[in-house]
Amino acid sequence: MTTTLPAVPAGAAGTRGDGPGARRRSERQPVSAWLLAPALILFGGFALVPLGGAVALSFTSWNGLGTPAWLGLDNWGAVLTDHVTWLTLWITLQVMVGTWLVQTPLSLLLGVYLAPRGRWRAWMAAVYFIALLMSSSAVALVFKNLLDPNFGLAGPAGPGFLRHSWLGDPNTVLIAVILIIAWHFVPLHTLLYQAGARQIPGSLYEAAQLDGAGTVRRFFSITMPQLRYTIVTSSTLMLVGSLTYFDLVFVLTAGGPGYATRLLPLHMYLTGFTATEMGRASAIATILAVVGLALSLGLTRLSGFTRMQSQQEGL
Amino acid sequence: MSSTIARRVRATAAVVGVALALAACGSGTTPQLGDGGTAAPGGSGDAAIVWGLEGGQSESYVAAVDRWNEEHPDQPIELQMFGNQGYKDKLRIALGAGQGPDLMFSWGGAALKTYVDAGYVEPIDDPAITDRYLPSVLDTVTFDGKVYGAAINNIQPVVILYNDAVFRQVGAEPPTTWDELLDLVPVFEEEGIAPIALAGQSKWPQLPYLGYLVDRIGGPEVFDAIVANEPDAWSHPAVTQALTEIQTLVEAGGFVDDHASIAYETGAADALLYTGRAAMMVVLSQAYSNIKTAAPDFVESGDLKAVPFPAYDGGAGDPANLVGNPSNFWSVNASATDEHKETVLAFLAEQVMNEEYIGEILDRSAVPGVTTARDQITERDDTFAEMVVDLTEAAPHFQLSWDQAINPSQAEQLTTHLDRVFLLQTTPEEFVSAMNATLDAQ
Repeated sequence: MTTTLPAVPAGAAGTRGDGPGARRRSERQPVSAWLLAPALILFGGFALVPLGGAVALSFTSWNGLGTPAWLGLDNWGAVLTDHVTWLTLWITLQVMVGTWLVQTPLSLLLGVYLAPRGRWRAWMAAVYFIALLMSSSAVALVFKNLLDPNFGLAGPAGPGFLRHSWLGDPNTVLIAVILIIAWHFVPLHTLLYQAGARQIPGSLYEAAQLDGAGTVRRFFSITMPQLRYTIVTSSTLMLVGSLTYFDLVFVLTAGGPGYATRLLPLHMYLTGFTATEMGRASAIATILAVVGLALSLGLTRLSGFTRMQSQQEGL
Repeated sequence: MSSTIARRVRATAAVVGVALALAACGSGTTPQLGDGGTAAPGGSGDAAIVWGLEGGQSESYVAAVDRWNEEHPDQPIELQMFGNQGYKDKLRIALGAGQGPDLMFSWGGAALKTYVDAGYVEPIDDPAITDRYLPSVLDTVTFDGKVYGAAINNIQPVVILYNDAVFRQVGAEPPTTWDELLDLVPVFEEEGIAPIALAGQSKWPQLPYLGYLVDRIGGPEVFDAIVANEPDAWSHPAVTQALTEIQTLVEAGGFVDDHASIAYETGAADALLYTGRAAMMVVLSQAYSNIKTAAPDFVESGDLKAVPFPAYDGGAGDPANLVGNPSNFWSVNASATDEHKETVLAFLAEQVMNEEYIGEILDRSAVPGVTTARDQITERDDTFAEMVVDLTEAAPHFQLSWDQAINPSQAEQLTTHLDRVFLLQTTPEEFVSAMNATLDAQ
């Protein structure tokens, strides 16, 4: 690819070999901004404009019918002083951290395990992947019936250790939700780690093996550092993604019992569409967008994702 | 042959309904119409669109549209069926965007009134349609003296359904007063039977307890003041007393242990009753039809019986008052074309609540809210249907379910806070002050 670029000013090119040097050179090459147009139009039309609309609506009173009436800062005052907003934010945070803690080790280990070639592993990878192909709502319906305390596996007919009203007990419902989310999304992250692990050159492992490093040592000294950016990518997807869990929870528990599983996005939906207070819901939506943006920016900055460098220099 | 088609249509409608409900919960970016329900013959693009909701009586909507299309191929109607969850949002968005159906399914009450006030609904003037209905049915769709909906299914007062076999087993009688109901709790507990099945996750099955108790204790005036948004209307002592009674019942173990995780739509609450694991259920009379479909042998055996909600000793309200859903309705979209309006009005007059339609509903042990049903009911010798129609005719006041009677914003707060009352997470006093705050917001 680099060979097709027009002449590069002499001296700008590194003298340290072709690979990494060429990458740096191409970054300085002016590329027509028009190439951005398709993405910008889509992003602007389907993300920025609606976002602006939500911000504008958050200053109005609107029940979804007729014309929104200007209200000023009343919605914001109501949302920010309502303890339910903060409660739902806290529950969202718990789910965010919980899903990350459950999913990361599972998908990392599965992904690394599935990375080497082999028919058996390919078959298993396909099986694991099925969970991701199902719609969240279908997953929620299945688990809702499985966990039914009277007629499901969590009932008298099921195994004893499952005998509990998982979705009805405010103390366990969040754990159940986190585990079901994990069941649904671990396959995606496994796929990421599998692809990441396949990129690691075999020569690294061979060299380590010659030096006498065991499986565990090789995992922590080669696999983990080499997967650094995969971990960042997967974690960002998980953490920011947890701000969008809605369909699954809505079908599974509808936010209950009480407020126990009312995540921020669900709170937004219930405020907007059940209570038909679009203005207030828009204020919550804006909070959601700001939190999401801050989270992904913070994560990429903290993890050094923006200064991404090759992990394989010198190979 | 035709029954296969009907079954396929129903199955498709159910699947599409669920899919739509789920899609409405999801991104909402997928086009969701035009692929379900009973398609008009010839697939004409100019069919009048009718929206219906899957439910115990929805087979009759399909049958009525089929009959119409057969007789009026020049005025086709297309019925699109939806699942319960998310339908209200969908209707609101569609109306707001000017893409509503010509005939829309609704519940009457405050939600319909917001559509009427916003000019989305056309009054129905044709006496051939409106004169058939019982006054308590018409009341929920009458605003400023005009009728805005035609009832399409059955009157659904909330009653106590009970499993008579279980009552015989413990040697008990169904309760006639609230105290008797409380006294029954330990009797069933001892036998390892849950006294009352409750689908708490769905939230709406909790509402009749509050609705009935407030009515029995304080009379209908208490809730009328709430509907009228009078300041501090929730502070009426009847409300606090009703909530205290509910929590007494919860604490006594009156409800099935896992009530918070049971959703009504899964059928688990009905199943608890007909499998004998619960003795009673306070529920819309529609549940009788649902159980008849799910467990026909049980209903056949005569063990599914019903009594009205018990009286409250010393209460000011008339024990004959009812709470429930007087019916569901089809309302005419004001922005429909004149031809479509003409089509759907003729359809309502001709195919809805005609002899055949009424017969189908009665076959499911449900009672349509029309004066013309009485003869057919007597002919059939159906005790439950007769009880429902007797109760309705004798009721001095038929209160529409609270979540339909107040505006959606207050209703959302009501169901959430009442759920927390049932979970013992909040006190009656906290409930009252939280609900009073929703009045101030108006």
